[in-house]
Amino acid sequence: MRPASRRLTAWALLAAAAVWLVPANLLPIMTFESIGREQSGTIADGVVRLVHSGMPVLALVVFTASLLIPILKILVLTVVYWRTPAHPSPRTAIRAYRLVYWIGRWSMLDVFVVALLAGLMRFGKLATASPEPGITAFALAVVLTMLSAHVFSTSQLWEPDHGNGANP
Amino acid sequence: MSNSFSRSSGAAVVCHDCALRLARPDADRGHWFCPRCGARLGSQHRLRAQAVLALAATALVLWAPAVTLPLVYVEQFGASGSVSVTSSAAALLDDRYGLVAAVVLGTLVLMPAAQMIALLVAMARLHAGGRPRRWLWWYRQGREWAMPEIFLLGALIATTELGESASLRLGAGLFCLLGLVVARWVAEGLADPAVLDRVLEQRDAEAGDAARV
Repeated sequence: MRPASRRLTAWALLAAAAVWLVPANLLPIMTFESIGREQSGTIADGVVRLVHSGMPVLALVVFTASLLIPILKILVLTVVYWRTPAHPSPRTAIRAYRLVYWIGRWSMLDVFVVALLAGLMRFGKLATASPEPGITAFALAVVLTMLSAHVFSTSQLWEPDHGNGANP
Repeated sequence: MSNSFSRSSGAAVVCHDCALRLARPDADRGHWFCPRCGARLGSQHRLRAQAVLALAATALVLWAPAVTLPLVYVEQFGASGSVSVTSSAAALLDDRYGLVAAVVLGTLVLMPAAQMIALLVAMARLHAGGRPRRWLWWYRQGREWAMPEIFLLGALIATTELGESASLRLGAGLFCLLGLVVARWVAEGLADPAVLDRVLEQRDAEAGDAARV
C-alpha cells in the first residue's frame, strides 16, 4: 500500500473506533439476574461495583484498561496521525505511538470478563449473567483501534510522501 | 553444536520502525538502538533456537487442555457449573453475540496456536539454515493478537467478583493456561524480533541476496 492510502485507512479505522466507543460506554455490557432481581450495568457501573465490594485495586485495573486506555489511545493516535507525514517532533510521536500500541490490547480485559461470567453463570438456577450489546460495541472499538495502529506505518513520521529513498 | 547464531558484522541494517538504513556495528555491543527513532535493533542475547523451539512445543502441548478443560467450577445455592474458553465462546454464540465469540476464539484459541506453530516451524527452519520470513510474520502477528495473558487477568477479576457470592474451585484448564502464558512469555522474550531481523539480514547478505534487504 502507498503511504498516503495507508494513512487514510488508519484514519478511517480510527474514526470507526471512536464512533463505536460511544455506545460501548453508554450501553450496558452485562446483565446480572439474582433471586428475581435484574441489574444491567455499563463499564463504569462495573468499576463502581468493584469499589463498593471493597476491591479498589481491581477497580483501578478495570478503570484503566476499559475506560482510560481506549480513550487515551484514540486521542494519542489522532494527534500522531494529524501531523504526519514529516512530523515536526517524530521522536516524541513514535514514543507515544509505541506506548499506546502495546498498552491498547489490554482493553480486551472487559470482553474476557464478560465472556467468562456469561459462560459460567449460565446454568445457575438462581443467578445468571448475560451479555448486552455494549460489549459488542466495546470489542469492535478495541479491535478497530488496534487495526488502525497496525496499518499506520511509523516511517512516515520522518518521510514526506514523495521523498521515498531520499533518506540517508 | 551450533544452537546459537553469530551476530558478526557485514550486513546493512534497516530500522523496522523508521526505515533508516545503517551499518551494522562491528563489535558485540549488547543492546543497541536506532539513532533516529530509538527502536531497539539488537540484543546482547543471541538467538537460542533450540530453547525457543522447546518452549513453543511446550506451549502447544498446553494449548489444547488450556482452551478445552474447565477453568473454574462454581457452586451457588446448590447449583453448579463450570466454564472453559471454548464453552464461554459457545455461550456467547448461543446468546447471539457472534462477534464477541469470534474475538474470544480468535485471540485465545486461533492466534496462540498459530503463533506457537509459526514459532516452532521458524526455529526449526532457522536452525537448518533457512530464512523463514512467512512463519516469522505469523509469529509477530501473534505477539499482538494472541491474548492469553490478558484473559488470565480477566479470569482473576471474574473469579474475585464471583467469590463474594459463590464458592469456587479452580480447574485444570486454568493451570494449563497459566503454563501456556509462562511458556509463551519466555519464548517471546528469547525470540526477540530485532534479533530475528538481524539473523535474517545476515543470511540474506551471506546468500548475496542484497535485493531483498
